[in-house]
Amino acid sequence: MGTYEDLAFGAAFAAYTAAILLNVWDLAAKRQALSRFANYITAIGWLFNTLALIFRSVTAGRIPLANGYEFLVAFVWGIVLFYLWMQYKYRLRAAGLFVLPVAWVLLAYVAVEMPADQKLITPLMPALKSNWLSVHVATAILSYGALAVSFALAVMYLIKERYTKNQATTSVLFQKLPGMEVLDESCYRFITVGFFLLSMVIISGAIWAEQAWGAYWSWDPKETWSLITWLIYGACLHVRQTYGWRGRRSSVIAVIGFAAVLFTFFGVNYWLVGLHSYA
Amino acid sequence: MSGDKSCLTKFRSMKTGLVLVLVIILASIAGTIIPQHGMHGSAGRWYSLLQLDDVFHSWWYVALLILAALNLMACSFYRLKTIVRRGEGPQPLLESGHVAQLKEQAALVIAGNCAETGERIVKLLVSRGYETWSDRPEPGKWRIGAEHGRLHVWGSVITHFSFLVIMLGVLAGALFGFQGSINAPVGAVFGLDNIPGTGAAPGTEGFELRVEDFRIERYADSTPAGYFSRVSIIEDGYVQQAATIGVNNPLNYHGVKFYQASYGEAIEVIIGGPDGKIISSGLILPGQRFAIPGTEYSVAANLPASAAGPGSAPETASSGRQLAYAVFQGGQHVSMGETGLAMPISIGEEGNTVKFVQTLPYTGLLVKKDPGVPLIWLGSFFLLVGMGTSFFLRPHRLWLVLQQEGTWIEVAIGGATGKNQLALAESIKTISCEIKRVEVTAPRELADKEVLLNGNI
Repeated sequence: MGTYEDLAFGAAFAAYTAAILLNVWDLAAKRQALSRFANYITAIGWLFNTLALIFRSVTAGRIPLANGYEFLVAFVWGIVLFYLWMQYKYRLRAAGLFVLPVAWVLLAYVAVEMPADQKLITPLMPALKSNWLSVHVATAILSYGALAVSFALAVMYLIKERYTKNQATTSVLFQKLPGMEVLDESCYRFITVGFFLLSMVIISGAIWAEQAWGAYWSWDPKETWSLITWLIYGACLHVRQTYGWRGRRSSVIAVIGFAAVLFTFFGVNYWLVGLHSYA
Repeated sequence: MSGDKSCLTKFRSMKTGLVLVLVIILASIAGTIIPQHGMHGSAGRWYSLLQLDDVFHSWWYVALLILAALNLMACSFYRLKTIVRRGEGPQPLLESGHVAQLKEQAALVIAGNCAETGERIVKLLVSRGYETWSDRPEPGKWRIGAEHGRLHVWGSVITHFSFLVIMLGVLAGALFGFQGSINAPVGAVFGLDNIPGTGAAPGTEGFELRVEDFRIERYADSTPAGYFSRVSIIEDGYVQQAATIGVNNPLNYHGVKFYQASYGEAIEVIIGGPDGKIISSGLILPGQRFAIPGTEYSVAANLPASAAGPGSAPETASSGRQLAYAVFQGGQHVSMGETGLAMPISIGEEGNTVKFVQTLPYTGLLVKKDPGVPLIWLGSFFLLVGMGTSFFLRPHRLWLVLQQEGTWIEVAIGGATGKNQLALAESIKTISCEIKRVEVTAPRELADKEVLLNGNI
């Protein structure tokens, strides 16, 4: 089953790579067909991504959400899920150029940089044996996926704005990028979805911590950083609603927020020591 | 303007709240970077004044949290009346000229009679979850107003007051809760009054716990699969309940929770007097000293971790295990050595002997009572309900004007929202499509007029 998993992983990686290249090619294309084709390829990649997770769970005999490797593969799955949903709903051309590379870099990290022993299937340590594991990690994947998409949309907004300011309206990328208002609004939508899910992640984590460690909140670095991330996005929504911080300012906060998401996941594991040391 | 604002007005403003949040973010980042809990070297005066080795429980961090909580409450109370007013009843109906000026709008031309079509459109809107109101200012003209997701204004109220519930939970835990921990060897019987930190006076809590057994379950590759303490609760001299405490599976007895926190091996020790009689016996846990009665000596002992971890059965001399011991005189370390189990060593000039008889597994239990926890979960639930209401109801208003032109009706649809422009555009598109699907749409020449109307922004 392990080789099937590797095959599915490889196929997903290849499909995502192809989708990014197709999106680049689409910059030069006139018709919508190529961008649509790129989305089909992305969807196929996502199906292989799903298969990789299924094979993993069959081999491990549990849900595939228990260590850093499994979380990353699932994280990519979540990003692409929200990307496909966004394409289905809003059809934002050129978005693939910004969302998919985030997923690609994470998979490339798993494929190239991650030590082999971290990819091994290890049995669950006692603290992870809880029904809350699936709720906690599944909401985390979806939340991070939505926030990754919001990050890409914010970057697209900032680029579009820069082009507009410099009056570089003849640029291919400028012409393919959706309108600034659509980018701003859809970025906001994804932040609300991600923020809601992030609240679920923190609450389910608190319920679980209360059962496993006897305290719903211990100021563990992982907890603290998830709170920091939550406060950043919460502030973003408040300044938008009350002070009308849209567009540029709101996009900058979305970028900072996603940096906090990445630090909560990677930074805390590599640089800070805490209770939450499995993923 | 800002000069004559009172302190209270400034304090309850959202600006103050956001500044507090920013400061809390920065302080929290500092708290995760500065090593916490005594891992630093020599502490400077500022370091200890600001309690930088325990940022999250320092006076200033707690003060920040309290200030932010007060600001949140004041700010929410103040905004409550604006929010409630915003959620009130029907808005004035608009003329088609106004509707065409709205940011999101569409125009279509359909066949039919204004009165019947108007009724059908109202029905359609109601079936899609709109509240509607309408009037007919003149024959052949129908104005409709519709509102979607009006309840969303309560989302913000519920969200912000859920924090009040959560804070009450934290407060209840701090005021009426306790926390302690105990390392209890197999066979030990203890009550809450034996546990430091629980604040229970001797004999106050009427139940005791007896540790029947401690075991570690392992996977095939010998990594631990679970730690389990089997305990009995004894009250009024009878065993009231038998339970197994495991990781993720605490025991809850009348609101006091027992968590599996750690484990280890204790050493049973027997002290012999100069005449060979036993004068004292007991258990030594790691880091503890055992006093020799009648002298100023005490001993400590340390077992190297056994490869298999503590077994469920006591280990005796036959296992051949060595242990390290240290002797203290009046608090000063005087000597140390290695010995086997059940080998007597003599201590001091009076001829006392110390014998480390056997090892016993002990279980480390965290004992906790927190009456605030249900409030925390209740508050969390409200938080999610409030956020869901606030984010996902897609609040918006629509205005429609139907104008009879011969056998055709010109329909103008427009909408406004403070929150979700994309969803509004989608809704207008969907409603237009629905109307077109149900009604007979205009033939070619009128469809051109429709294009004209749509283009006429």
